[in-house]
Amino acid sequence: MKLNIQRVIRFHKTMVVYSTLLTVGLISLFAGLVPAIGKSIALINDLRTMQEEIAGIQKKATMLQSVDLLELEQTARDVLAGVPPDKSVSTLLSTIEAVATKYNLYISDMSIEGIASLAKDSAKPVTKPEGNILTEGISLQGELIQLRNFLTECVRVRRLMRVKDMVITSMPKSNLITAKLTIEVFYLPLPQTIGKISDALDPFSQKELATIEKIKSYPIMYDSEIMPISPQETPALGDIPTEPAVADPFSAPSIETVVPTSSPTPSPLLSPTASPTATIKAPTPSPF
Amino acid sequence: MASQNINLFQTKTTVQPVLAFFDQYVKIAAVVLLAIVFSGGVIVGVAFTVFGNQRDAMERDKQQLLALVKDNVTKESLILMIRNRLVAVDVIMASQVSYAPFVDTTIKIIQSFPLSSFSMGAKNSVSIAVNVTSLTEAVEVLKTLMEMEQKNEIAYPMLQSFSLDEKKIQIGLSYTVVL
Repeated sequence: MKLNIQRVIRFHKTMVVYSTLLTVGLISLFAGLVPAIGKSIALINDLRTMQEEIAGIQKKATMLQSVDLLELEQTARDVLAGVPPDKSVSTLLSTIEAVATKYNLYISDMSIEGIASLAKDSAKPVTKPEGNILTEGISLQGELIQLRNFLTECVRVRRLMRVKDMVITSMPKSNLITAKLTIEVFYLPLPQTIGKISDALDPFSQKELATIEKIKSYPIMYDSEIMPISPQETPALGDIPTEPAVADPFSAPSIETVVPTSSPTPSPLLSPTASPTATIKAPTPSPF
Repeated sequence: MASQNINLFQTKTTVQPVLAFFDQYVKIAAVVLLAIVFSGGVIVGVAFTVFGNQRDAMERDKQQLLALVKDNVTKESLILMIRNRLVAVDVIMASQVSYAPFVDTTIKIIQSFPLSSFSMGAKNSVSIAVNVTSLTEAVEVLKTLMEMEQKNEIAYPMLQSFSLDEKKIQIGLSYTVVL
């Protein structure tokens, strides 16, 4: 048998050599060349993806470099004045009082629902597109035309608010009225993340710029700055302010806090007997 | 003299015809395959080197750009914060309705007569109560209401109540303000 094989090899020496070469060639083809071609194709695809990614980052970097930081900070202040990151009760009360004062309306009563946690609202999930809502009940006394002017102005100021409900009753033996308004104000916690660094970032659209211009045109009726923003204070990844931007006068979620009676709101000509008080109502604890 | 030895081996090797047929194709196949493997290997090697260098260069560019973006992270976070807030601002502004037109309409209806009460209902409807001193004044108020309805300033005007006592007449009206 062995002799037979040797004889075949000797007789078909050339064929054996070429067969061996063919086998080696086939092994090289399937074990080496085909995977190498596959890797090359993957590399080309990687390059293409990377090229797109670099183009995106380039665009983002160019855009970021072209934006003026001071201008951005000012825009941020303007927008934050409209919708602050926390409940900012002080700006709310201050704004309402300023608008009422402007039109000689007398605030006879004021209450805020759900005031409990004054700070750390960033942890609270935002469920509505307009952000979180704080509801305030307010009683105003004055003439009907003054109330009309108040209603026009209150939806054209920063901070942003909307009148949800209104009931007017006349005051006995006078031409004055009492208006009970339910006003909703908004606050929206700062975003907690800014996404991946390679994520695309487009400049502000025309619609966004129009909104910015519109909110800038609304006057700020309260005195203090709502939230001074500097580059050092700007929230970055995981850097979220945990304290309220403005020192609220209500340091603890008290059940009933009475604001001092020396309200700058002027009394109408026929002043009512009740002194102006603002009552902060804490939410009723859930029985569950 | 003839040889006395017997040669048991064949003097000429005979190749089987089938093997001879395969032999020529194996030769061609082996040469072609090796040529393909070699040239393919060279091409893939060159491509790998070129693309590899290109990838390294792009990776360097990318890192530089990422560093540039990182330097401007303050601007990026401000833009994202503003954009996020603008969505809310848009929604709020769209839902802000001034109640002034409702008061204007009421002032027009009651003229100079004292308003007793005013309340808002659903779908821009308003209910008011106005005090007048005589039936003539009451008719005047109702006449104004009908005129405003004809001018399409209000819709669905309704006389809800009418009470008369010694001192005054109170009219309860409801209507929908056309904005």
